[in-house]
Amino acid sequence: MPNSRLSRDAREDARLVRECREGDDGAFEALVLKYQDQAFGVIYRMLGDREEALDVGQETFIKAYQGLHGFDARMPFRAWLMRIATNASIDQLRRRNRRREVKVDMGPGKPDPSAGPENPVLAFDPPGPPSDIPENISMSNETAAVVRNALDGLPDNYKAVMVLHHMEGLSYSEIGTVLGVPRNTAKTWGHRARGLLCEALEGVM
Amino acid sequence: MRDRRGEKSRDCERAACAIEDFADGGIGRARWMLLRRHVAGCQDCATYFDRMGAVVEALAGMQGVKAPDDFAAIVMHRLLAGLAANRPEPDGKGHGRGTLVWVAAAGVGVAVAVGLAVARWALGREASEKLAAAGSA
Repeated sequence: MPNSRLSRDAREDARLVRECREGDDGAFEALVLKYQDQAFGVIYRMLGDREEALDVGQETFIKAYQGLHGFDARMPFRAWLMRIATNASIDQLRRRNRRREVKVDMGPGKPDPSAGPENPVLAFDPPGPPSDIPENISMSNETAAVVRNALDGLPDNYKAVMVLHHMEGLSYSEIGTVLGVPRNTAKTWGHRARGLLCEALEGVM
Repeated sequence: MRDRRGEKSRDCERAACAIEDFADGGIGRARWMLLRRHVAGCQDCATYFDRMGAVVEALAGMQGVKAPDDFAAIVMHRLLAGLAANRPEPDGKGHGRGTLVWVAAAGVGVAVAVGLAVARWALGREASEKLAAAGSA
């Protein structure tokens, strides 16, 4: 894409990336400050755990710094960073699932206090302090909890589309770039994900 | 609404598409009016529409997560600490340390060589004295 067609934001990102490649660490700090909320938000919503999200968030920016020399400047920096954040989150979810499988394989024993609650809907613990999340008061807590819980149970790629589209405001084209799939695939995943979330509301409304 | 064969009517399919587009970020006024009119008379689509609205509302309610205030500082601290560990020391200090190592190694080598030479000389002298003594005897 020619430079003249890039948005002001993208041009600023390109300048910061260039300065960073030339050894200016301050330029990278500016990029961290600019995108920390968005990257952290994606990771936090993917993982649902604040401490884990902090670790993965830091790793995301460190990976970005280390990969800056191989970064293709034709791709928007934001999409590239979100790709790193999303992949890191999915990797972390897989590691977590593997740990869970190992625990399950261990068979019956003493109840594990770190294991999930018996009724995940009623005992759902929304990630992070309530002050972080401006919940819409017009929706019943039960409905919101059911949707959050169903989101947590979606396949990783569907969940990523929901987080990137509905929480971070990315278009399907951008999501396609982030996830490395065509725009229409991202859109299809989004439709299927919402269909599954709607199914989860059966019996509630 | 389903027909006698249990299949969705074309209006319902159109409504479902409109509901999807609504969930994706909005639809035009004309489609919106058609959708409202359809769901007013179709219980299945009305339920789907309500659920989709609830899903979108719930997802939107999860926006606005912020990173902690010290997030950037921690990232930069970790980065710079990692870089400092990998960078060569500035002002030629690393070069000076390397030179010292070479000088020390050369010193040890010279000391060993001198020691060997002295030992050889002493052994040679002892042997020649023994030979001389044997000759005189």
